[in-house]
Amino acid sequence: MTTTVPAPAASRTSILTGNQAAAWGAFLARTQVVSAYPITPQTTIIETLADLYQRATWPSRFVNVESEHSAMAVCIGASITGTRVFTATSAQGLALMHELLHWAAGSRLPIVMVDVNRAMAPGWSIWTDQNDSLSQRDTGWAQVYCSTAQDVLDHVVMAFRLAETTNVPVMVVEDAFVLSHTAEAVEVPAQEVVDNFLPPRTPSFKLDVEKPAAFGGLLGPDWYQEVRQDLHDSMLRIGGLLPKAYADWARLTGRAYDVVETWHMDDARVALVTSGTVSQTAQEVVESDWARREKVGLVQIRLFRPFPAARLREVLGGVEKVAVIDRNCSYGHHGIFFQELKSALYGLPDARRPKAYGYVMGLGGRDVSVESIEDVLRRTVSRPAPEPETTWLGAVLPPGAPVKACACGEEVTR
Amino acid sequence: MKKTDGRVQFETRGDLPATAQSLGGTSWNRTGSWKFLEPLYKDLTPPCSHVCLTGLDVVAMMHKVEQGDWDGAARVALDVNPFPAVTGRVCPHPCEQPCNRKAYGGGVVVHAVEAAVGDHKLAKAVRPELPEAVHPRVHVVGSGPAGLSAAVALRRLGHPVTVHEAAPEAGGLLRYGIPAYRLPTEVVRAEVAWVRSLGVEIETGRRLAREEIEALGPTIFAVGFGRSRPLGIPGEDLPNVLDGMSFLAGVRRGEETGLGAEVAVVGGGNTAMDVARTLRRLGTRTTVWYRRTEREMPAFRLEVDEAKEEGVGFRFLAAPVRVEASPTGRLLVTFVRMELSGKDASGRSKPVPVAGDEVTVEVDALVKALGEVLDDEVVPRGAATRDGRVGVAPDGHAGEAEAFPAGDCADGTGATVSEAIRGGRLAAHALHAELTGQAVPAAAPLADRGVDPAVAKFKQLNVARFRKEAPHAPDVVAPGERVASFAPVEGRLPAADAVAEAARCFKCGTCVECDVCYHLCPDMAISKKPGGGYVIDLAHCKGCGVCAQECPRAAIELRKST
Repeated sequence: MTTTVPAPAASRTSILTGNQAAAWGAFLARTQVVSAYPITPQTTIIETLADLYQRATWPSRFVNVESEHSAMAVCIGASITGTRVFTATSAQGLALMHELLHWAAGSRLPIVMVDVNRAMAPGWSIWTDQNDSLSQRDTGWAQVYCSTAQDVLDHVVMAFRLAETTNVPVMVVEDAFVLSHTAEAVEVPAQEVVDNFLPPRTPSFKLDVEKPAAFGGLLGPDWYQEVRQDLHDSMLRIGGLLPKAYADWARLTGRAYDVVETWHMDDARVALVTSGTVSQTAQEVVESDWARREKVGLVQIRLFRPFPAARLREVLGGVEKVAVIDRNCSYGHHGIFFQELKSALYGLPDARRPKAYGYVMGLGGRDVSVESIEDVLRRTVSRPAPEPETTWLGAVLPPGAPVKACACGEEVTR
Repeated sequence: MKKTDGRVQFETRGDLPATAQSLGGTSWNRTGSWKFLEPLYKDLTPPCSHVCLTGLDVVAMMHKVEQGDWDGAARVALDVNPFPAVTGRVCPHPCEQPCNRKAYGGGVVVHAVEAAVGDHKLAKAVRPELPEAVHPRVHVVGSGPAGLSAAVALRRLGHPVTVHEAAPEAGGLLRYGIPAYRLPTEVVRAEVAWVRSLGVEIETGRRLAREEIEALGPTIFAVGFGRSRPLGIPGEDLPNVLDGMSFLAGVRRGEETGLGAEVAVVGGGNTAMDVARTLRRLGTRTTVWYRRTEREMPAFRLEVDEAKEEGVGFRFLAAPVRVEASPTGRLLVTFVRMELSGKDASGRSKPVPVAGDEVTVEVDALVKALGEVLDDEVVPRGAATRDGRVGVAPDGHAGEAEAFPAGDCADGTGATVSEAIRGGRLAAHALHAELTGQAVPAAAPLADRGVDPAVAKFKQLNVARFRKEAPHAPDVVAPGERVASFAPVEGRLPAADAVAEAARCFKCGTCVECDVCYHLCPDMAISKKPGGGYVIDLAHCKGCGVCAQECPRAAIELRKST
C-alpha cells in the first residue's frame, strides 16, 4: 500500500465530477471495505476509489466481485464484522442487489451506497431517471437525492454518520451524466475536518469470533414485528438526525443544507416541487420576472426516506397549488414524489391543503430544460383544477397524435 | 431476557437486538410439521450379492477391504464361504455381470479382491469362531469343495468331523480336476491345511466301499462324479480314446505328460475347455469338436475366449460317429455334420445328424468330455438316483438312506465350485438338524442386516459423488506365454490395488456412514448414533429429500409421511 499522496491536510477546491466527489466522500470517510461491480454511469466512482485507495493509510480492502449481488453480499459480510463499508451502483445493478438491500437493512448494517440514477432497461438506456432508486423505496434504506457534486461529497460523509448512528443503511442518489459526469468546483474538505465530523465506527453489535453468534437466522412471529418496528423507528430518527448533522457540517465547512430546501416560499401561491439536478434548473426558472409576478416558489426534496412529511406540510400548507416534477413513474398511478407528497398533504386541514398537479417528464435522460419547467408552471397556473392529476410532458410527437384505444375502450392521450 | 426451552423471551423493547441474532436456539421451530415426505434409512440389495452363488455380502467385504480390515473381510466371506481363495480364482463371478460400476469407469473386479481376501485368510490363518466339539462325530465322504465346505460347517456347529478321501490328496475336483493354471496346487493344499487346522480330520488314499459308507451312520455324501458319459460309438474302447476327467487328474498327479502331436476333444463344457487348454500346454495341436454351435456351449465364456487365445481350434455342429485305428497306429475319427432343429429337454436347440455328410480326421488321441455321472457303486442303498445324480429330499436326505448329498453328485446342484460350497453348507445344516434336532438358520448376511430385497439400480445412485476411475485388475499373462507352462493365467492383485478396487466399489444400496446426509441436512435433523449409523429427528426433518437425493448409494428412501 502506497502513501505517497496524503489526503488533503487543508480543505481545497477541486474541479470534480459527481462521481469523483462521491469517491472522495467515501475515501475521506476512511471507508475500510469497498466492493462494487462496474456499471455505466457508476464506473468512474470505483475507478476513482481504486486510485484513491492506493494512498489509504488505514487497513482497507477493495474486493472485486462478479456481480452487484455479490458486491452487496461482500458489503454485508464486511459490515457485520464492524467495518465501514461503501459501494456504488446504478439501474440494473441496483435491481440485481434488491434481495440483499432488504438483507442489509434487516441486518441493520450501516452500509453507504451511491446510486447513480439511470433509467431501467428495456429499452436499453444509460441516461438518467429515478425509477431505479425509487423501485428500492421499501427496502429499508434511507435515500438522499443530490443536485450538485458538492452535495454528493458532503452527503456521502454525512450518510456514514446517519447510518452508523441508527444502524440503517443509506443510499445517496445522483443523476446520471448530468451530475455523475459533469465537473464543477467542489470543495474537498481536509481529512481532519471529516475526522472531526465522523469518528471511527463503533458497532453496537458485530460478528466476533471471540463471541460466536449467528445473525439473520430464524425469527418467529413472536418477535419479527418488533424488530421491524425498530427498523422503522430508527429510520424515522434520521429525519431528526440529519438536521443535526447538517448543523455540525455547516460549522465545520460553512456549507448549510436542509432536508427540504426552499426558494421564494414565504409568499408563494404556487410551489414547484423537485428533486435531483432538476432543482438546479428550477432555481433559474423561479427567478424569472413571470415567476416572481405569479409568486412561484421552489421546494427541493433532498431526503426521500424517511419522507419529511411534517416539514413539507409546514412549507406547503396554505399554498394554492403545488406542481411536482417526477423524473420517474409508478406505472398505473403517478409520479412517485407526487404521490408521496399528496399523501403528506392529506394531513393538512382542507383550507390549507394545496391542489396538487403531477408532471412526469425527463425519463431516460430526456432534458428537463428551463423551457419545460416554465411549461409546467404555466400549465399549473392556468388550470383551475388538477384534472387529470398527472400529465406526461415533453413528448416529441405532436399533441393528440396518434391516439390509441386501449383494451378497456378508454382513450389514451399523449 | 429469559430463556424457556431454548426460546428467548424479551421483557422490554430494549432487550431486543437490532436484528435476528442467535441468542437462543431454533429447536422450538418444529419444521417437521411441514413435511409430507420423510426419509428412511433402508439398505437395498446390491446387484452383485443378488446373484452371488454363495450368498456373499460382497459390499460388506469390499467395505472392510477398503478400510484395510482384511481379517474382517475374511470373516465376512467365511460367513457363507470357507474358501474365498478358491472361488476368487475359479468362480465364473456372476457378481461382476450386473455391477453398476460398469456404466461408470468399468465394473468392479470382485473376483480378484475376493481372491486377495482368501489369500489373506490363508496367510494369516483367519478362522471363524469354533465352539467346543460337543456333538457326535460326523463323517464326510469326499473332500471336494462340497465335502470340505460341509466339514467346515459341521465343525462350526460343534461336531468333530472326519473326511474320507479316496485320492492321495484332499481337494477332489479342486486338486485333480481344475487345471493348475486356474487354481494352483499350493492354494488347494493351503485350503486343505486350513480345514485341518480347524480340527477336521481328513483321511486320504482309501476309497470307502458302499457298505463302509452305510456303516458311518448319517453322513455327508459328496463324492462328486465318478465316471464320464460314454460316446456310445464304435471304437470308443480303442487305447487312445480317453476320458477327460481321468486325463486331467493324470496331469494333476504329474503322471500324464502328453497324448501326441494332435488331439481331438469332444464336448462343449468346462471339462472340454480344461482338457483342450491343458493339451495346448503340453504342446499338442488341439481341436474341440462340439455338436451344437458356440452359442450353446455350456462352458464359461471366459474359458472359451481364453482357449481361443491359446490356439485351441473349434469345430461346431459335428458329432463323432466312429473311431478306427489308422494304419500308422493313430486314430481315424469320423464326425457327422449336425443341424439344429427344435428344442431338447434342456431347452437348448436340438442337434440332428445330416446323414452321409461326414468328415474323417486323423489324430493321435481322442478325449471325451461329454459330462460326468455318478459312480453308482458307492451310492448307499435306499438313495434314489436320477440322471446320474442322487436325489435330495427337502430335509436334505438322499431318499431312504442316512446320507446327505452335496456337490456335483447331488441332484439340483449347479455346475460351479461355488454352488458345491453352498450345497455342502446346506447339507451340513440338514445333517446337524437330523442329529441334534436343532435347525440351523440359513446364512443370509444381507437379510440379517435388514437389507431390502429390492436391488439397487444404477439410476438410483448419485454417481456425482464418485470418480470415474478405471478398474484395478490383475495382470493376465499373454496367450503365447501362457501355453508354455501351468502357471496361473491371471496374476494376483497386489494388496494396495485390492484396497483401491474395493474403494471403487459403489457399495450400492448400502449405508457406509459416509456422512453426506449428515452434512447436507439443511435442518440438522440427522445425528449420529453412538454405535454407528444415523437417526433422523422427524420433529425437525421437513422432508426436503436432500439426504435421499444426495445419498451416493441409494441407502435412503423417501416415503410418504404418516
